[in-house]
Amino acid sequence: MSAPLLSIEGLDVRFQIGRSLFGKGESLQAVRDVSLTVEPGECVGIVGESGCGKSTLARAALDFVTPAAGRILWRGRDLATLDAAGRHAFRRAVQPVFQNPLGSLNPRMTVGDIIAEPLETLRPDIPAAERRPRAIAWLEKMGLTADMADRYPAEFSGGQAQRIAIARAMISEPEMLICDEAVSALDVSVKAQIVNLLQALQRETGIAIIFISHDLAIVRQIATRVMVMYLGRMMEDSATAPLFARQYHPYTQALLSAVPIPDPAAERARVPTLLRAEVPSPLRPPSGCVFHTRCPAAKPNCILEVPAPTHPADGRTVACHYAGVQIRGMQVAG
Amino acid sequence: MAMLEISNLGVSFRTPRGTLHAVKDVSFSLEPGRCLGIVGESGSGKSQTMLGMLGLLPQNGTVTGSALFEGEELIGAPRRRLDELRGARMSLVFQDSITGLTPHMRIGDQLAEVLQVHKGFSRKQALAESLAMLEVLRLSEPERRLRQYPHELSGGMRQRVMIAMALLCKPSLLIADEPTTALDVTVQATILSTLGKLKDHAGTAIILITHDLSVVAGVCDEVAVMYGGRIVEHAPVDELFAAPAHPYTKGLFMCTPRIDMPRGGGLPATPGVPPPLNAMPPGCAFSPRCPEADARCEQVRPEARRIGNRLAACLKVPA
Repeated sequence: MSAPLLSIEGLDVRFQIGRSLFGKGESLQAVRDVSLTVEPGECVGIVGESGCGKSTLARAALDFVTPAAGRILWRGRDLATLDAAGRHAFRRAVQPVFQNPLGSLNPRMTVGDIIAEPLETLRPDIPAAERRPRAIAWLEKMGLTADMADRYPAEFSGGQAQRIAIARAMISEPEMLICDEAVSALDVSVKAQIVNLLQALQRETGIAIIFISHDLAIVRQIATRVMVMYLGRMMEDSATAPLFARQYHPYTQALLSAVPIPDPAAERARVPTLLRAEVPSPLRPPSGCVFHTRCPAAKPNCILEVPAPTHPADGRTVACHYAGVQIRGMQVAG
Repeated sequence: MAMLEISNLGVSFRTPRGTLHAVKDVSFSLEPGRCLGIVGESGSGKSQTMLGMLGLLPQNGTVTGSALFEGEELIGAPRRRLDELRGARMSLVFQDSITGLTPHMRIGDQLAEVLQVHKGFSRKQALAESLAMLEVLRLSEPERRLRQYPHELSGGMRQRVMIAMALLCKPSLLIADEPTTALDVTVQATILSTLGKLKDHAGTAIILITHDLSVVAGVCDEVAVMYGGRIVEHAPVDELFAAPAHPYTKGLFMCTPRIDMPRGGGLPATPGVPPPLNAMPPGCAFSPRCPEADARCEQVRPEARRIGNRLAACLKVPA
């Protein structure tokens, strides 16, 4: 079997907080022992609440932060050991799309130049004269018009700016897009347009996508596989349809039960599991299973032992001592 | 008589490029213990309607029409009178909780101040009442929160403090503008369940402004959908969700993903974007994007018509 497109193995990412003349400060473990593989053409959704490490994982996969432990393999080759040429090829092959498109586009460059710019460094094989026609072709593929190439980002709406950001990401013909909350700031109808656009891109080019979002309904729509994170750790990883049909991890159950449904009858029937307390500080994560302080099903060994990932069903990984336990109706007040 | 009666409310802004009409001819009424959802995309006028009614528009804004709150006219009321009403009998919660709290005051002092100013409570009484309210909102370690500063709390905790502050005086009307938009779903669930209890047990009337139809479905009794500064459809929540009448509402429903059932073949998204305020089409504002529009829709602006329990402003909706 050939190696997966991207393979993350036992990844740890730490940040040093409050380092000064007087001390080393504290170490914040943003991602801890996370493994993930992405196959060509797959769309992997990464979900979890703010501070769960999903964006840090994305930044590590883009080689923006250096892991403290673990490996990131691109087509079987460790990023840490890539030579200059290998690194260049990786930069071309993996492209990011961020949440705030107007913030990520240079306001002083025309849209045509913004889209064409990556070709200069990432695709020196393409002659300079061909850059602009390619940029315009991508602009049109994104549902915009050729005359927009001479305008500036400020003249565009959020949805149009996100189309421009996607065109810029796509022009080097990458093999993977990493979308970090790429549709979160957009209005409902525009959000749907961008999701459809990404799905069409996948069908046409076979590009793989890592889709990071806190919006579980959108993730269900676009992702083929979903990984749930909490406080820097993987809780559950499964193909999309089985995950939404049945959740083995109590945290996944609580998270999914909290999502409102656009249907009054379904809403009256829905009983969200209201978790107790707040998400603990990532500076001092709980011992054992990081979810034990809020888990209605926690037992003493959850406080002591970090649960090793198990595979209770086909293609599913769960990090819980009691994988499969159902917490519905077990909610605790306070 | 209704607790709140809004008639022909308009909001406009003077700008260097001319006058922009952000809200046009908005009318609705609200009874105690009822929750009205106002749904729309950015620029639809949903927030400006509320800011206009409350006298919170910036210098270049003008509000016209009438807003009767418990029989008292708010439009054109003296600023001091509006100051008395806001915070005491009608309260506001905004999306952005960090700018709503004073950074250099402890949470407890900020909460207690509301009761000391509006209700004449002693500081001790006011702090006890504030503590009780934080417990209702399920904040962990409420005593400690009272001694903390806003920057020490997470976004979800701050938003619950803002809601606690809005509820301290037991207002008869709560206006919540995207109160859960910036929050994680688990915190959103807590806040929405609190709003539901408030309406059922305390008889508070709620106006919930949101872009999210899922949020509306669980809490609201009726829904007004806004587009281009006008209400295009207003109906009881069950009727609206069972059969949206206006083509814009239909489009909104179709492109809203559901966690309980994915849509095969993608989300049928309405093409295009809302028209800018300075280039409104002469007829129906939605006509350039509407799949059902014809030449008449482009020229004739549809008046809101009553159809059963529902109001719809569309020439194509049968009577």
